[in-house]
Amino acid sequence: MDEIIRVEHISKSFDNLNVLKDISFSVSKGEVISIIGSSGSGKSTLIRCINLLETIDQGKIYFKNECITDKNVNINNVRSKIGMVFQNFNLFLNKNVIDNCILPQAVVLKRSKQVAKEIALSYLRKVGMEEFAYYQVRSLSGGQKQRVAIARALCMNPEVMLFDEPTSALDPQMVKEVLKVIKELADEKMTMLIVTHEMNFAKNVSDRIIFLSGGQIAEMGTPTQIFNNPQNEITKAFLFQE
Amino acid sequence: MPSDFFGAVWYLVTNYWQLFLYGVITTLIISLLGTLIGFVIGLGLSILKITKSRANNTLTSKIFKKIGNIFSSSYIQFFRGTPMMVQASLIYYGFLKLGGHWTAFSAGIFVVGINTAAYIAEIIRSGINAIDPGQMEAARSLGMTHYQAMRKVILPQAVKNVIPAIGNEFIVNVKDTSVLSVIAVTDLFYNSKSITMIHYVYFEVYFITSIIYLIITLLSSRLLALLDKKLAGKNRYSIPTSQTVPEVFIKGGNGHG
Repeated sequence: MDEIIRVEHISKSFDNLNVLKDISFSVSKGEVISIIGSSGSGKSTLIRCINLLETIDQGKIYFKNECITDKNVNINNVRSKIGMVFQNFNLFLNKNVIDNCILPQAVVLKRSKQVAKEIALSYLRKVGMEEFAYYQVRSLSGGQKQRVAIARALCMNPEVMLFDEPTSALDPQMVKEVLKVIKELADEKMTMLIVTHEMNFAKNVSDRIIFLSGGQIAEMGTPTQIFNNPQNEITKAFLFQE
Repeated sequence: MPSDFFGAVWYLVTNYWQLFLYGVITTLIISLLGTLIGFVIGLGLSILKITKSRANNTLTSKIFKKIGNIFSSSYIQFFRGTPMMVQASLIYYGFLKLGGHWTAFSAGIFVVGINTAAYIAEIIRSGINAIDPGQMEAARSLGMTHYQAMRKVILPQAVKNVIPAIGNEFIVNVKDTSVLSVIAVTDLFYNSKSITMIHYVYFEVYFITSIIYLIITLLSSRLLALLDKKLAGKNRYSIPTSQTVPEVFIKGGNGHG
């Protein structure tokens, strides 16, 4: 299978706190990987490093065989191919729904307003938000905001999507509508890295699970391996804590 | 000239209303243009001040950014740390000494502008700092450069949020232009002073002057409050519950525009 992302021995610390310690794994095209682990285990930091929102201290990250942690790499070019969805949506508050989707296309990809608008509408339709295209962002519910955020990222035609706890700020009903959208993307073979606390979702949608503990990969494998037959004591403790 | 207080006031108003009016117009023009100039320069200063060097910057750009930081900090320190009366005298006579030619009126606009810039720079800087860092991260994660994100996402929000504070600066300027009488700008205060010299009545004249200043500042505050409301948008309130149901459905608006 085509390898799209390769993470090689990366480490990251904030002051004296080692958040990531020697992490390595690779992602194949079309693969869905869920990253699970308790709070503070480094999940979000890991995914933010891949989008270069955090600079790593050691190691290398490759995107399609190009070392993106190199100093000379065009960061903006890389980021436009790696979509990111945040826990707090981070929709642009000075723009309405459709302009949130149009702005990055126009600014980064230099698409014409008309083309960008059509693409925006098609992805808003995909996430079920087309009828809200001209609504102000602040008038939407959390689940609606997150679906718009996903559409905004998809408008850039990314080759990989990163989800940083996309449902952690939502209540159960809205969690469902957002997970449904992500599931559809998985069915279409979008390459995705998902940081999540939704264990059932991770089990159903992922090809592979990475279990992080204390900034290290404690265990990595298929959902069946991890959930039904975990090898590591820490994984067992985390999964069967009830 | 009548000897009773109200008679004297009435006499002054009816005989010298033109002088008062010219004073008001001068005061308003200087305050308004000064605030506008202050906004433009202040925006630039605030950006110079918050620009930080990054690890991957070239040496030249690091040096330029450092110079920008130092310049804007010293500028702000100087103009906020000295009285505008002194600044006006220094700049007006300084320019004349250098062989320049300008009227007290244009000097007045210039001084108020560059003075207000220092205050507005700090207002905008705090406005930028108040924007959720997630806005910048989202913009960067989509591939926008720092500059594009600033221009299209951060600054429009920051400027919108600080417009009421900039309006306040205008009101402050209406009052503070009175110190420009030191370089003989014929504003409301200077003209009032001239009227006192004609009849040697002081209290009555300054009584009228205060009332006029009060009317201007009261009206300006009202206008600002209206503007503030308009900027906030209509029917904007949030229901104090979790956001399960979108606000638009609750308030029954169509949410467009």
